[in-house]
Amino acid sequence: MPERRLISFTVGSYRFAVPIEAVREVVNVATVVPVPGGRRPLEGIIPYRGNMILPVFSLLDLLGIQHTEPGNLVVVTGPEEAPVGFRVRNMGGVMISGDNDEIASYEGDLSLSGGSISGVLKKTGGELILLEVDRLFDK
Amino acid sequence: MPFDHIDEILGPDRIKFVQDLPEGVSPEGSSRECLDESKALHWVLSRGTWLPVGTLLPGTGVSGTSQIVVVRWGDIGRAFAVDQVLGIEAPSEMAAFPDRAYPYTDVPIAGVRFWKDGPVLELDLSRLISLDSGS
Repeated sequence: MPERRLISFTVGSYRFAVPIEAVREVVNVATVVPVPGGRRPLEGIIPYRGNMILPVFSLLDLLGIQHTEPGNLVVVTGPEEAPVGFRVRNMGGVMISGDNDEIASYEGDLSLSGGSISGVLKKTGGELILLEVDRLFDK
Repeated sequence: MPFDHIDEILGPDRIKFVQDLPEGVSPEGSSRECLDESKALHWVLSRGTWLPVGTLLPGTGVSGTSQIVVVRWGDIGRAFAVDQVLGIEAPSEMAAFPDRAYPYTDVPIAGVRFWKDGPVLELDLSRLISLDSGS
């Protein structure tokens, strides 16, 4: 596997890692404004970069488990023209994953539909779920 | 919603239950368009036409303190119950409502404006009325 730089974060009791290039930024928000008549996994919207609106989704809902993360940290990902946000509990560090790292198939309780989980990265100190954020909405 | 299309704002005293509609009144002005007319319990008289009172959001209803906003879109009139009319304001330019979020709400939203300390959603009246009429 080619060397990759990953960034990790926690949502609920799950630890995720995504390629660092998939994360546009991490913002600290005071409030996520609910959308009238909104349905999960959409949690609401926040003002973003002046005159833009960022939709905030529950990451775990997209993966099949209903959960509202209470934190104020929002990871912004997705393409520049259509960014999306996920509330996370806390951010981990940047790590490098390479040939020596073991990657196993994910066998937990999160939904694999759409290929949004590509595996589990086993590192010293714990396992990280490898998330393919571009595929979260491909269902 | 855009003020240009608001025809009237009525108080709760103007709401009539369907059984209290005057004898001989036919709500012709709305009967052609409103699919739920037969189910409408609440009506208002607006400029000579009886309109069924709808709601903007799923799960909401008409209460004794509701205000009624009558919207005109071309020849079509619609009456919607709201909790409170906050006023006429001049918010910011409209920002696009995110495409990713559209599938997760049934409320037709034209965009988002910033007003005072937060975002305010602007309703898409053309879609609101066309959804209501089934056209």
